Amino acid sequence: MLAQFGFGVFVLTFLLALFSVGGAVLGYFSKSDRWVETARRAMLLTFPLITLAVLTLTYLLVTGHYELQYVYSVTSNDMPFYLKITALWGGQAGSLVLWSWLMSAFASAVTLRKWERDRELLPWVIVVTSITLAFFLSLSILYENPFARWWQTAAGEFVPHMFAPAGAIPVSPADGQGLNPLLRHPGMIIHPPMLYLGFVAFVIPFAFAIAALVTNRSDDRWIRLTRRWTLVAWLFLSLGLVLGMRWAYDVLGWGGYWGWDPVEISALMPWLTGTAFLHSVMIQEKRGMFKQWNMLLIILTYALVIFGTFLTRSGVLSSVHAFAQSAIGPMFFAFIGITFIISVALLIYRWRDLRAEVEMTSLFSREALFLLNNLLFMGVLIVCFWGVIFPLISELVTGQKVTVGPPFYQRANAPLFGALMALMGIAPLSAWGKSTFQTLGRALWKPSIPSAIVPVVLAILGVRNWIALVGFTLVAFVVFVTMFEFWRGARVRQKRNNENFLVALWQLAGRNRRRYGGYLIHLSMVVMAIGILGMELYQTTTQKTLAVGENIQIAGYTLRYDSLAQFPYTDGRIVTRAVVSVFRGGKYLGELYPRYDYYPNGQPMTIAGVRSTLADDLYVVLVNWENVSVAQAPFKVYHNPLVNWLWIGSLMFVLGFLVAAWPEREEEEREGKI
Amino acid sequence: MKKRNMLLLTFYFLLMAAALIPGVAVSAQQPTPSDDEVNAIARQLYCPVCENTPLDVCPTTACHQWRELIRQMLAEGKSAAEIKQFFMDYYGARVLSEPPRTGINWLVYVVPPVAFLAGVYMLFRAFLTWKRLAKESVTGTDHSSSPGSGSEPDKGSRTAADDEYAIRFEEELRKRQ
Amino acid sequence: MGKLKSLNCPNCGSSNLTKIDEVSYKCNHCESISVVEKDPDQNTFILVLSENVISPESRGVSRRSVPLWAQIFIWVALLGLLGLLASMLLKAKNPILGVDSTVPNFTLTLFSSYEYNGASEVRLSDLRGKLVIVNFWASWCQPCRTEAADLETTWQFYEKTGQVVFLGVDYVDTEPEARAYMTEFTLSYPNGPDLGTRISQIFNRNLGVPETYVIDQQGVLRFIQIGPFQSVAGIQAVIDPLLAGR
Repeated sequence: MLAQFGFGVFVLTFLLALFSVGGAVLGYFSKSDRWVETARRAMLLTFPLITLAVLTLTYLLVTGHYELQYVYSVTSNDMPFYLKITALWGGQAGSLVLWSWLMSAFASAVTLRKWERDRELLPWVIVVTSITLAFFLSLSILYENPFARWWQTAAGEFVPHMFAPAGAIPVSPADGQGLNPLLRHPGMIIHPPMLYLGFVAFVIPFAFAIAALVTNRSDDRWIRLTRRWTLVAWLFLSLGLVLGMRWAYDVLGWGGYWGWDPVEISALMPWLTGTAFLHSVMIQEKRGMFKQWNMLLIILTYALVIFGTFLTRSGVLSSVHAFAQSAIGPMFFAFIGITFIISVALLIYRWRDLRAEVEMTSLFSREALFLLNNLLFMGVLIVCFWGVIFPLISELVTGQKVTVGPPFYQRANAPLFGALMALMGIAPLSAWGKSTFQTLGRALWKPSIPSAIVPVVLAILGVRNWIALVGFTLVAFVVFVTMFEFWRGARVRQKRNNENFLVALWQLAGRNRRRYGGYLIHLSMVVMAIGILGMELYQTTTQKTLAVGENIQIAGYTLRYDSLAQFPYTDGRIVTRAVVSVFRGGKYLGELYPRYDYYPNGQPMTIAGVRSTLADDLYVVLVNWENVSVAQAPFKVYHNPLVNWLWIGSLMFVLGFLVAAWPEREEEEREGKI
Repeated sequence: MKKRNMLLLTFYFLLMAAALIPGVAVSAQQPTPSDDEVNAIARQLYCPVCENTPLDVCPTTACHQWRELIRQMLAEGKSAAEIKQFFMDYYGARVLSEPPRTGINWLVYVVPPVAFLAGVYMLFRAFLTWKRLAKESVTGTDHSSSPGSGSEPDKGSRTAADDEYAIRFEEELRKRQ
Repeated sequence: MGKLKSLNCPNCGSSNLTKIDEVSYKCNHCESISVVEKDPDQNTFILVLSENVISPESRGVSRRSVPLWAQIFIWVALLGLLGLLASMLLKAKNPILGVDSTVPNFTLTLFSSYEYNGASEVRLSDLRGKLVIVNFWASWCQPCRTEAADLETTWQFYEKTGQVVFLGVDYVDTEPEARAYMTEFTLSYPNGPDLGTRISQIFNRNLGVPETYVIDQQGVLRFIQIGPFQSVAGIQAVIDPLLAGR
């Protein structure tokens, strides 16, 4: 009964979303505020309705209603309570529901604001968000219905269906299959919702951009209105990516965090355009330039969000992340086709009205450097996009499948990321508008000197890899420039206001949060770069089968295999766990417990034993695909230098973001200097 | 389905239990060539049946067989290049971590740099145009009517454009209030 | 209207400003020059950087729309991408070859001692006039084992007629294990590796094993079996009608 209720709510919400689209369009063309207001209220109503459906589904999941196909496929009796809740997004149908829910939450939040001054944008914001919402709801209703239940047909087959097929009788399994073991990890519990939050939040700036295009408002109002949305979307997308990396590192047991898998890349692509957008909107706000470009970027970001979701879910690509092949492909394809074509057509149609108010005058001005930054991000995007798309082209033309793997992306992207780091160092020292080679040079030479010492020191210490030398020099350069900027700004305040240096520093960041928060984010990026450089250039690995008491050596560490034990765990899995002692230079450092778990559904999970320090990680895998016994067990050991800095960097990133986006006091906001 | 898995699991468990009885092995038999030598090549190859999984970390039986094949070929004195070539001939180009540089596959290497360089070129050309325009207005050849725009940014430049801006601004305000 | 509230350089945030004239300030920190302007957002005045504010029109720059070549390029690229996705979608949904389509010619290289009439390779085009049963298998494939003996029995049943050819295609496998498998089930019909997965990709993009394809005397695909056959009778039930020419 509850399932029918949930489904009914879904259908109702879908109709309501369609109604709000119609109302908004009607209201716009007939200049009827009443219709727009009706549409707005319809839009607002979708959120409580979907919330109701989500709560219903959650209740069904938690109480083990296995007669529902979705509940059956993602939960089981022995799963802990919190996992039953997270099972909401543990499968295709549920994650689409989550998408719709977030979409309607964000759309409601944005339609709730005061609209007096931007009334003309409202109908089109409603249209874009409601169409997106209606599309995702229709997927849930037509193809991926989480409320469909099991039936046994007259022929004896078990089929999931919402309503009884002719002659079928309902069946109710006593237990479900349970959540995919790979998804039973804290990182996995928050990684998908974070990504979805990021994806969905980018729909809001897109909606405003389209509204601005349709109504021909060529000013930057849409950017100012959605600035915070963009930041939030970007934060969640970034966090989603980082958490995904962390999850891969902890759970997948291949000693890395990023495999350049097509699905990872499809989540990275909107991040790339989103980051470019975040930078280039500043130029439009400050200088009125690049309106066309910003429109293009936000349209691209939205398109890539939808495109990435499509790639992951339609069965076009196969990958570790891919959802099982599903019928939603054609419908998704139609949606992609329509939205891409309309957005691009609209942009081309309005292109001439989006001309710049001022033009660029100097190659060394900050806006020029921002443009260069955008170019580099686009370069990375092209590499990624082409790498994902090419196997499809190759298969279509030659019939041969090919793999475009990590070496391709690393080789192509490394110089681009290097250049981006150099820009991170240079750009903060440039000025808007008129900046010449001389003024820029004068600002640059001071932080350049200490950075130039870094490669010398590293070379003396024995680093010979030129990529490492260049990389760490760039890291140092960005760090010095950013510290120099903080120091310079604080000094000026200190002198002028007679403040304590620390107070001055605090005040400085407080007065110009966006700028100094941005610097902190830059710092966090280079800290992450330290970890990435360490992993990419200096990771080593070795594999050996050990008898009890035997050793394995790697990077100055000695690991001794002590014992192996096997025991069942409460949720039905069987754990095989080895004890390994770690020594360095004869000194005992501790024990590690690499293990693998066999779940009742037969899927193995490899959990590495990790010893983590600031300098390096020792990552030990009990190789479950070779023969394991107490007498001898195969181990694969990775030495991952500096990888911890990647996670430290991501924490700094959140801090920087908080500084940049923390709501300002009302008064300051009125001055328009956030 | 589930039942079969449970059976398998029980079977596996029994097998493990048998194996867990402490053996007499004092030191583990190390295969030659060593796992490290095999993995060094395996990590450059992809599992031909599971997508996007490097061969050195792939847990399937098939992958195990392929690693043993690599070991055997190494023992026969084959070079890494020969082994990779064999895998490509035998299982198709998808086992390589990058498309081989032949025929249409060149596109994968050529298109991104060409597109990027095209972007650089377009940006550079735009810069040149902007610079030329700025210079023209400084020398004031065509537009002596818009006075002193380049060299005196403080006063003179705030004329024509600003008026236009101000007018539009006032308009906007009227519209809104 | 409003009044000027903050006196900070919009470029660097410094408040160390020198007044130059009625509306302009110079920043002593970053040397940029700012002017007082109305904030389009609020009824207040703010400092904005002063630049060469030149309206494009005043310089004779026309408002340019997107050039035609760029428009053509954009649309071609967009439609090309959509076309690519559409074709992949179709491929992902259906096997490449459907029943009643003509099978493109392919060459199967054969394992030694599993040759076809003494030849080390066999071409599909050479088998016109015969019913061809193409069975994909692999030594690592568990379900393949359930049908292997049945296939051999069926092969022996039809071998004498000379009208049926069985071809075992060993899908992404290693030779020693494959030979052990063929020995285990005493396979006697021609078997060979699917070199470069060229043959499997003719039939199905997402081929799994076992899969069996039956090609009639004219080279037309007549039957597809996904997964193992359950019995000898099951295989015969497929072959007999086709042999009878129905």
